[in-house]
Amino acid sequence: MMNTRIAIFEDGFVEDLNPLALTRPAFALRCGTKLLYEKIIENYPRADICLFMREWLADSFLKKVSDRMRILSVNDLDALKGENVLLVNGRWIFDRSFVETEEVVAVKDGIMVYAYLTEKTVDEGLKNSRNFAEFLDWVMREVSVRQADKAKLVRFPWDLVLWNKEEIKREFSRFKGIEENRQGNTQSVTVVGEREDLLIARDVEIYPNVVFDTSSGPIIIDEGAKIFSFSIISGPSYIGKNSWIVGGKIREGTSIGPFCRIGGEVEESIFHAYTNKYHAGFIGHSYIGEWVNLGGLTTTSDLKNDYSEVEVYINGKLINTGHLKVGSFIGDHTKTGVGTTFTTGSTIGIMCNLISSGGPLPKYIPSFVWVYRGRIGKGLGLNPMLKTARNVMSRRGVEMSEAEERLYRYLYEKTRQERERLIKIYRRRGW
Amino acid sequence: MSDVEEKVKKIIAQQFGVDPSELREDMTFAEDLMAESIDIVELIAALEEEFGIEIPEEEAQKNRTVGQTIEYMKKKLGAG
Repeated sequence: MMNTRIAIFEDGFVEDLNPLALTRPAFALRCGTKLLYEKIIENYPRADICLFMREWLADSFLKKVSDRMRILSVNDLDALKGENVLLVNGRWIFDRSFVETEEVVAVKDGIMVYAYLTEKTVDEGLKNSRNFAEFLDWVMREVSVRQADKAKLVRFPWDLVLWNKEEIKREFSRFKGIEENRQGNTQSVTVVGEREDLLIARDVEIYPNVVFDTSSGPIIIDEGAKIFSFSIISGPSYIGKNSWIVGGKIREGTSIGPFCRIGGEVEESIFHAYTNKYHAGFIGHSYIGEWVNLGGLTTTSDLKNDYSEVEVYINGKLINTGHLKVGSFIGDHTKTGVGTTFTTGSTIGIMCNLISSGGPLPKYIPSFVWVYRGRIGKGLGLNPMLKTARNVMSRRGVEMSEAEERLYRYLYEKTRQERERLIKIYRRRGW
Repeated sequence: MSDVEEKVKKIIAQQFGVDPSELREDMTFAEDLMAESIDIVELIAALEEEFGIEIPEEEAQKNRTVGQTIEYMKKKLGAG
C-alpha cells in the first residue's frame, strides 16, 4: 500500500471505556502484547500517522506516545489531503487480514471499523465536511460498504480482557525474532508444555525455581523483565518490558505492561503500565490502569455466588456484561490499602485513595475520592493527590508533564458533579 | 397516597438512607440509589417482613424503579 496515510480515530463510543479512557485515547488501551494503536502502525512502518481524538487528551498523550516522530498531525482534517487514507477506528483490535486496498468502508453493526479511501475520495469528502465527524458521516454515506461482522470492536472495558488470550496467541509469532536470552541464567527454568512456546527476550533475568506452563498457550517475557523465584506463569501470557514478577501465580490470559511489579495471584487480567501489585491477593478478569498501587491482599471478585451475569457501572449506568466472570476496572493513579476487596464487576475511577474497613467497597467509585474508616469523601482535594502522584512517578524516574497535570486538573472538574452526587448518596447510606 | 404506597416508600427510604419525600417514582435503584444486587435482596426481605408475603426473586428483579415496586406491591396485595 504505497503512499497511504493512516488515520486512527476515536468515535462517539469511547467514553464507554471509562475510567480507562478518561486519561488516554481509546486507541492507547492494551490488549494482548501491545496498545491498540501500536498494532496498527507496526503494520505500516513507512506511513505517516494522523490521529483524531478528544482534544483535551492530545497534549498529555503526545508526551508519552511511542513513535512520536511518525505522528504527522492531531485533529487536523487538512492533513488527510493529498494521499490515499486508511481510516481506522481506534477501538478496533486491528487485524490486517481484514484490510482491503480497494475503496471500501468496513462496517460492523452500523459502525465504521475501517475505510480505505483514494486520494480523490478523501479530497471530495473534505470539501463536503466542516469537521471530522462530518467527514466520517460523508464517508459512510458515499463509499461502498462491506460488512465486517467478525471484526473485534472494543465496546466496553471487559471486551479487552475477554479477547486478551486470543490476542497474545495471535501476536506470539511476531515476537519470534526477538533475541532470546543467551546469558546462561535460565538453566533452572522449568517448562511444562512446549519449550518453543516460551520466548525470553534479551536482558531478562530469571531466578531459580520458576515454572513456565505453555500447555495452554505461549508465554512472552519481554526485554529487561525479571522473574523472581517461586513464580509460575501460565500461557497465554505476556510480561512486558522491565516488569518484575515477584513470586506467585500469573495465570493464563494475563498481559502485564512495562515497568510493573506483580505478585500474588493474577488471572486473565491486563495491567497497563507502571503498576504495583507486589503482594498476595487475587486479581481476576480485570483491567488495571497505570501508576496504580494495590496494597497487600487487595482482591477482586470475578464471579458472583449465584453464577449470574455480572453487571458493571459505566459512567454511572449499570450495564449487563452478559458474562459470568468479570473483575474490576481501576483507573490510573488509584491506590488501595491492605486488605481492600472489590465486589464482582467493580468500576473504580482515577486517583482514588481507598482504605478498606472490612467488607467490599461500593461497586462504583467515582474518580478522585477517598474511602477511609468506612466513609467516602473527597479527601484533601486534588493538589495533595497530584503531589502523591508526582512522588510515585519520581520513584521510577518519571516526571509528570505539565500536560498531564493539566489533564488531571481538567478531569477533576469534569468528574466533579458525579463525584459530589455519589458521595451524597453513599454517605446517606452509611458510607 | 395509599397506605401501601406510603409503607413501600418508607421502607425504600430506610434501606437507602433518603427522606421519603425525596423519592420519585422514576428513580432507578441501580443508578439513582446506587443499589447493588445484595441491597435489592435486603429490600425484598424488608418488604416481605412488613407485608407478611413472599416475593419471588424473578418477579422482584423486574422492578427497577421506585414506581414499579410500588405498583407491584399494590397488585400483589390486591390494593391497586
